[in-house]
Amino acid sequence: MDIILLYLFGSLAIGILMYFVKNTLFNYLLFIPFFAMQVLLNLHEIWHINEIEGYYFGGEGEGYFKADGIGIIFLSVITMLVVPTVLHSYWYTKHRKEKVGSIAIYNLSLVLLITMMSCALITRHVAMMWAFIEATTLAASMLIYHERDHAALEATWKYIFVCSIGIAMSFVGILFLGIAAQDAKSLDLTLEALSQNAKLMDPMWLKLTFLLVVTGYSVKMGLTPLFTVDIDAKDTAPSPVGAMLSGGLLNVGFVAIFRFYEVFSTTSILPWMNTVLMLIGMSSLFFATVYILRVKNIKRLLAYSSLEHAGIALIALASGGIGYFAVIFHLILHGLAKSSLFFQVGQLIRIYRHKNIDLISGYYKVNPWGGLVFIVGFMAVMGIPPSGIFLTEFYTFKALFTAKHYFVGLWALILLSIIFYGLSRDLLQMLFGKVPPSIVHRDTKIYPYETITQWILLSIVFVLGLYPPAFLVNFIELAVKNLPK
Amino acid sequence: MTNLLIIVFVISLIYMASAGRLLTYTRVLFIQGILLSVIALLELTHDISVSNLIFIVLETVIFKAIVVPFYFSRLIVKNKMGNERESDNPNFFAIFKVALIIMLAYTLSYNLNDEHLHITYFTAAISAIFVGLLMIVRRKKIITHIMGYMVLENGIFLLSMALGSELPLIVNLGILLDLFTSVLLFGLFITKIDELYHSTEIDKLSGLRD
Repeated sequence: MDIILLYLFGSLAIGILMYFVKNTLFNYLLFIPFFAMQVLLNLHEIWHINEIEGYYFGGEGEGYFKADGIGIIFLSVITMLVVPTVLHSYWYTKHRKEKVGSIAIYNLSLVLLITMMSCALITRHVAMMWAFIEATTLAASMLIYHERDHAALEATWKYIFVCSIGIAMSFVGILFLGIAAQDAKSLDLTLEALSQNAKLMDPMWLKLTFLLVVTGYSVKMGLTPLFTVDIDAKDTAPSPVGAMLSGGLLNVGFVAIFRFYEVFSTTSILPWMNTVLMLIGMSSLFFATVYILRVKNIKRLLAYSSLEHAGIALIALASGGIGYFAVIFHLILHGLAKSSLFFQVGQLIRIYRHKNIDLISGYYKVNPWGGLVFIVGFMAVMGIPPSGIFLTEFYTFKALFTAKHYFVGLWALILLSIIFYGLSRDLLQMLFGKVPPSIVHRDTKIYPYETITQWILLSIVFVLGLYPPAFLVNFIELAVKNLPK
Repeated sequence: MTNLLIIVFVISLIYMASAGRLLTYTRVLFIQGILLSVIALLELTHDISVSNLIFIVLETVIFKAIVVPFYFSRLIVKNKMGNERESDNPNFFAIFKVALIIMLAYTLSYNLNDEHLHITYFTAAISAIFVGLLMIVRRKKIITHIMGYMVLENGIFLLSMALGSELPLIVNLGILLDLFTSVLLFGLFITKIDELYHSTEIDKLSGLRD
């Protein structure tokens, strides 16, 4: 029995069934078999790590799937986010008193998004990975359009169009890689074959490939140059979807870039690639800082904070050494912390009914448990100890200074301090102060149990920071074992 | 023979860039689709397996030459955009720009001087990609942007033939499925934009900012 095929077609079947089940409760109950399959896939991949699977036609050059360390790590992050996302989606649609028709499309798209992200993580063929990542665009666009107003339509159009262009650019990159691969007399575009043959290929084509691929997938990871549509998407999409985009899709974009980096890291273009990543990381950090200081929309604030962390991740990857360990650990923790904040913002918007930070105050009085989540969550993403993100940022700086990138280190330190100021200013503004009179008599109530999943995710962030378990460290070491020392 | 077809393809790019009526674009896309399928048939016959060849030729005929152009012509007629023109588009400069792109693409592929590279294909492909991008960046109407995207996709298709290699059938299937769905979604959303904004100019979409 092929678990991957079972998962792929099973999820598709469940998604289609969701479209036709016209009862809200049953529609949500369909997530139970989906989650079971997600867990099954995850366990199966952990069990069969580094085994090639997916011989569907028995032909040569087949075997489309292979879960390696990095794939399994981020697959597990997505699996962890499934239950919280579904629960918060349920509360979100229930509160908005949505019709079952729009819930059905939402659930179908959510299932498709999760399925396509999971498959993109475990495939070993670069063109297959491309196809799955393109499919995430389509699923995500239906989710971004969920609220069906002007803003949603604009954000969706920009997202789907710019993503399509960006992803098309990555495909041109893959074709250039095909041209380069002819030097090695091999047209096999699987990761293993490519890393074996990369040394024989013309560096000029490899550079072009890397540039196009990074530009294209930057739209998924939310980096410069194409981050703007990503910010719009996280702003207008329902908050649980924002959590999935920040906690899942960002990591998928990173893995896509990482795969090419890993393949080319044995060739002579490694220093050049590091410079490119460093520049993209530095400019992402810069844009994040500028916008975090001036933005007045809480969801956009979180989205720009994701841009910041994506930038840090690239800088860590480019600085090498302990940076390799830091980047993967950082993205795991960021995914969990940022998604819990997005869930909480959904509940905040439910009470205040708008997203403008200047008009939100006294949240701690209105909803103490939610306020606490905010404090702890912001501590986590700002990297205040004992948050694990403190550890990974510390390692990043250590890697930077060990590799003598003093200017980048200084640049990142200054910008991170400014971001720290911007985020804490907005946090204090929202938490304390007078409760606006307009919401005193509102009957919207957030029950403490609605924050349980957020607490679980946040406590994982802190526990992992204090006591990183041995199996996780092993997996991260497996993920970066092919990179140059 | 293939060289001749590729030259016709490049001429269609120039024609597309200088045309202003929306329905003309769909006709050029139809011609390009037919051209690409004939090129694929002639060129790939000896290189790849029969099943893959049939798939690629059918894909280009059905998808690129029939479904997409007719889908968008219907959309244009339905949304009463048939006689609309792109505004302020001096034809001479458009032709000049495309000619410049083609010359640069040729110089680029000539200078790359890679033994595996088919210069004619590569020039046509790169020109189509950049003409597509130019249409997306310079034009105002959203539907022209989609046409630009389709020209870009045609360029990518030519590039994959310049490569002469074969992607596995299942990968081709995935790519086709993605393209097909994205075109459907483009059509869906352009209808929505027309309903909500009573216009399909990109300038109307400027509500989201910081």
